[in-house]
Amino acid sequence: MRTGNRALALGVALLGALAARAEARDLGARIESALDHLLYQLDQSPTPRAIPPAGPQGATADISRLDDPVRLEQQLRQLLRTPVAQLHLTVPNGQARLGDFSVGSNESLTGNLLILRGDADLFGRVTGNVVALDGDIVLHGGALVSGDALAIGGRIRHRGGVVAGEQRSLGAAPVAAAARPGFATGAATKLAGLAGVLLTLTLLGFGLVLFARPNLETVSDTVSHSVFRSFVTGLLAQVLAVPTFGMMITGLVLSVVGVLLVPFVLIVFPLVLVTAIVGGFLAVLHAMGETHTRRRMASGVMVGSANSYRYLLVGLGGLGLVWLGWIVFGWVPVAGTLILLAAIVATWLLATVGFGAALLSRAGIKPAFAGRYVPPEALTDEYLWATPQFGVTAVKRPEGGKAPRPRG
Amino acid sequence: MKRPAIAAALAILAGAGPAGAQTLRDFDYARPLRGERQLRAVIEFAAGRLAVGPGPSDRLYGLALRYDAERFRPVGSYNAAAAEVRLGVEGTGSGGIRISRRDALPQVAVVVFPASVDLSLDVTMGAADGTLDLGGLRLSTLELKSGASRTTVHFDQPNAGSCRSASVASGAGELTVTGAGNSGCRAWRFEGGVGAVTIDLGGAWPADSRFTLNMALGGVTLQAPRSLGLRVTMNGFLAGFDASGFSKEGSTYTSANYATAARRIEVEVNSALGGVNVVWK
Repeated sequence: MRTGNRALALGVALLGALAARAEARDLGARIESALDHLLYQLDQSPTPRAIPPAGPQGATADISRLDDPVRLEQQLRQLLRTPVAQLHLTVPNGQARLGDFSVGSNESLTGNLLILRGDADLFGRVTGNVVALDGDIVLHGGALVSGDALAIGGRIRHRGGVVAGEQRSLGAAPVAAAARPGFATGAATKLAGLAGVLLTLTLLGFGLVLFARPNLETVSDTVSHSVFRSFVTGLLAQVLAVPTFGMMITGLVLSVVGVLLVPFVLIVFPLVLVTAIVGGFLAVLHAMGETHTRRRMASGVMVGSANSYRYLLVGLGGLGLVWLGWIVFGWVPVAGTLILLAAIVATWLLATVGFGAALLSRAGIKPAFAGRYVPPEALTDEYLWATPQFGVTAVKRPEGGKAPRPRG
Repeated sequence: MKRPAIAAALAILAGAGPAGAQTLRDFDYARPLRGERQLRAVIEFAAGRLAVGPGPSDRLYGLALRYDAERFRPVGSYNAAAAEVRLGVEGTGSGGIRISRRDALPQVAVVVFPASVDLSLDVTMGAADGTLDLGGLRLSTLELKSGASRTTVHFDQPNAGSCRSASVASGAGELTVTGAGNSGCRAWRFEGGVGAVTIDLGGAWPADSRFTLNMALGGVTLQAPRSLGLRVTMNGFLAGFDASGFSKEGSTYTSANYATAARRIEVEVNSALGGVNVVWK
């Protein structure tokens, strides 16, 4: 951009030198016009001049009513796209000027005044409306505008002068608001956020596998075998968590000795709650990964090492896919919002199930709902020898043939 | 074969995102006071923050606006014959609607009026936050229609003029009126939707003022000074009224101090499911 401006400035200098030396009048006029055009491009004021009226079919700018400055601006800017030399404009009951213009203290201008790309320095009187595009209207002492004043891309400056009518100013180039990122930037930001969350969950999950694998597996099995029960438990727990906390604090405060435990409970209760939710969530992902991996293995796919680390990674991948859908299609009107809602609901469902499973299994200590209850006698050879396992005899057993199958 | 298709799809997705550029633009509009005695002001403001209040004494009105140039255009026109000014923003019909507040640009409008002109104020707000500081103005009538907005109307000082009526319609937003007595309006009418309405009945009430509350589902809280006498007539199938401090006769509740109070207000409540709560202060 700066290089472009330098090139333009060089062009201006060259054309200026040419204009000074040019003897032919028409050539000088053409060069001056080109100079104005270049100055226009450089955002500098053009050489002040009157804009000649257009013919009957030519451009007209009516500034007798200024109620719609936006439309007037559009019209004038459209007009300014034509080269300066060819600029002709009719202002009903008035005149148009290009560049800075002033009205002297003992002058009185009859009619409307339109100034394009310049300031209006008013010391005297204007009987009509005054409009300035890309310039200020400066009202010096003694100046009087009998009509209205409008500054588009500028402002009205009061230095002792008076506008009898209305004053409007439409600000300069629109102020850039806090720009929203484009799709690519937004998607990259969201993707980075998702990656960060997944990485954190991965680290936490690996830590769990490393230090509390039996507990994680028990919670995971509880999820697999008692999904609905876990969900209901998790839902109830979410509803009751805050009242329970409140009651606990109230009870401690009311009891004399318990007051001392309040700070401890204030810290520990939320900590336990968060641990149960996050741990349960990871257990759900573990269960998802395990189910998926086992299904693949059952269909004959070779899986390198079917362990908890893999299960967790597969589950996290599934979660990531849900949110990836929102990242890719989140910009689509309505559908994007629906995808976001779906992702939120899916994540909440998983977290609720996990929370419930963590509570049901007492953080993986009690495998009551994990579907792995094996009576001690089932592990003995005597039991297996004495108890028919298959066929008609097994069905006719007093227990109705419902002996639990040993977990493989 | 698959890779070019995937690349093309990604390119389409990348190009189909929302445009980054958004623009706010300033618009100032004012008219000097040239001996006008009255003014009807119609303010329409769809979204953003609106503030209305007293301004310089040498201006008939003044508007300082910052608006979303993509979706709105400024409105500023004065009809001298009708002594009416229209102020605010109107939609251009392009660019759609920014539904969420996160996407909405911070449009701001500040409208001022002098204290010397009899003012008929007609304000319509959409999803906007409005603060109308009308204390000290010469208010003739007030018509306020607020949609999903949060609106506060203050009457910190007594109205210098004579207010005939005030009509307020609140849709799903919150509406708070403070110092309603200072408005000097003899007749107040509220049309409530589902939002919460809080009306502070403090201030210097004119004699025998009347309040009409037409509520749908929302609740109204009337904050009444203890020196004010209140008589509330309830009309409604399931309308609720907290009658503490009132004696009941039919569907009319009369405050204990009604007979002796220096200022008295008749309140008529027409409500389907809404509730009215009077808080003495």
